Amino acid sequence: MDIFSNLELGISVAFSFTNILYCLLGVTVGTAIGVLPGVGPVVTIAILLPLTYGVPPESALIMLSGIYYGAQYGGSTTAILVNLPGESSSVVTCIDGNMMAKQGRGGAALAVAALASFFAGTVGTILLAVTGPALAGLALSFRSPEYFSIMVFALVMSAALIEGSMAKGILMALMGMMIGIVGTDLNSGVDRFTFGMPELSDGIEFSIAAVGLFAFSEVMLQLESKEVVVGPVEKITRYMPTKEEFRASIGATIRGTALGSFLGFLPGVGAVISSFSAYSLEKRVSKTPERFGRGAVEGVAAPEAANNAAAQCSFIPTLTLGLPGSATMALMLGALMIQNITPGPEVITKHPNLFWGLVVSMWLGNLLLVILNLPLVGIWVRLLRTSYVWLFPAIVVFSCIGAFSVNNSPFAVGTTAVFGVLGYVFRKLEFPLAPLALGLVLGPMLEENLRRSLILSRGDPMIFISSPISGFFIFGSLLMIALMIMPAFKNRMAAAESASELN
Amino acid sequence: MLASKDVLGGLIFAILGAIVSIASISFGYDTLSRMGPGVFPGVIGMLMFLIGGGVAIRGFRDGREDQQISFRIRPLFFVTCSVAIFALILRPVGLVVALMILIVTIRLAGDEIEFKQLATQTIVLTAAAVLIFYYGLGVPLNLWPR
Repeated sequence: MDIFSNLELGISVAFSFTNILYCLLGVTVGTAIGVLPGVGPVVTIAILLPLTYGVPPESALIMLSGIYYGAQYGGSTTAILVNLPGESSSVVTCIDGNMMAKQGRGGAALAVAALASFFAGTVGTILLAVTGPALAGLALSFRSPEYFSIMVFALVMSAALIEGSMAKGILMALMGMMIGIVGTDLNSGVDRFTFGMPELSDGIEFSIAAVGLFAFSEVMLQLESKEVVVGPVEKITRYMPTKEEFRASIGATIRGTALGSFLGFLPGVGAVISSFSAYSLEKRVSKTPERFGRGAVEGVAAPEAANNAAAQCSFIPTLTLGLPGSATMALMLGALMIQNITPGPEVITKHPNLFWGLVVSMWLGNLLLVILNLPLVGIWVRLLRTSYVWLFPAIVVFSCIGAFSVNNSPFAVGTTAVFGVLGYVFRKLEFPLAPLALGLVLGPMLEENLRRSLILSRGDPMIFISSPISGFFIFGSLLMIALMIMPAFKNRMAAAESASELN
Repeated sequence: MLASKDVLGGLIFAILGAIVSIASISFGYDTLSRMGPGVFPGVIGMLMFLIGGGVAIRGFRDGREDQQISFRIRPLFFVTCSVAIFALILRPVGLVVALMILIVTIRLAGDEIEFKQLATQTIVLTAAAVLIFYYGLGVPLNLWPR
């Protein structure tokens, strides 16, 4: 089958009436949680995941992914108009976006952000359609050593590319893997770290841990700080960007899209880092870098394009290899697994409806988001005025019932309470949560593939280097560690960081 | 300087790592070609011990000012307790009562509680959750005490 007949199939799936509704529902919920600080896509998807049980797999995935990329759009709206990033991936958009709004160019900033995101989303969708099947074909020849090395690479990347020290990131990845060990070892039947509790013998479900780690710890931290005072909302006058703004944003959008696509494709990197990198790249290539921080339109276009491209492209390794590069992607795979679909290279060929339907729905969803975000921006901003006094009990109620419905077990709800405390302590001590989440997801797969590799090679660890693909990822991981330890590189990173803070 | 973020965090990991690697001895190692259930946790525990110790020592040596830990016990305590209580009473008292208790206890985590607002919140949120989850999605729970 060629790509056009596949796309035709995708169109027939994505444009069915129910799937358009699921897509609309997903992007609307996504925009809403993107606007609201303190509720992110990870938690929302974790709560909604068990409820997709009765829904056809393609509809479930269409809705859940809509939440994910919808949140990127919603986050930028509040970043521009109120100087409040709704999502961490839109932190840099605040810098120039809000400055533009203060100068009366808020409408143009929103339009540029939406159009840049739409362009990036379209490119991301095409990339997924073109590279997905090819990569899946390649992945069919992957054996356990390759999978092992790619997972190591993903963990190293997620630990290295966060702010703060890499050592802390690696510690958190290890912690995640350790939590992933809890349960009965399938090969030997030995109970590991179950503390004699039969409920723990199946291990800890990732979506349950995510609710505690992300939702409850966030509620605790928000309540601890004084009530967030929402600043003045800048007026929107005209959406149309000026000719100069339009011209300047084209190049920035293309560069942001390219960078975001590449980074999103790498497992363990994600949307946040893409938007930061795109911003600093723009500043470096600009002939007038002094304009950045004073309302440069490139500073809006590039990071918004990058985070959306990264969000779309992170689906590529997830769907073709069955390897999630981030916590959100792990939940997407979870959504497949409750439908009895085994993630891996066969998903595209065995479930073409699902893959091509998702591809087309992403493009449709991006279009819906432009429509949702530009004319309806007033509604979203009003949502921001929701008092936290109303918000946090709702978050906790939904999280508790959501956690219960994963396995219909009250024990799971208790587990979320424990993870809430863990998440709180780690965040207080400034240990990053993202590598922990990834470690928890990849840990069991990592051990299984390590074990299988060593059986294949009769105990010879050289198997990880002798295969070229596996060797490439091992080398990449070592290179990343070396780069991060090297003081020169570290200083440059620190300088770049403080420079972006100053602006 | 024991109360600094890196020192405390590093120590937690180092101690946990030591416990994990000692505990995994009993799981059994076997050989490298037939990896036993103790190998993976053993390696992870060792790495946690070494890196955690390193972070703690570095934090102790640097002794930075911005490393002080400050926190408030109230949100931590009430969020954790309200969720734990909900987990314990959900089956015996049914969804409606458990939700109402959850909402009242979780509100204690925030400051300044007005009675009228709390009452509205409890009724609205309970009704919404019951409608969505019980009637809408059919979550298998009894509504009222058994």
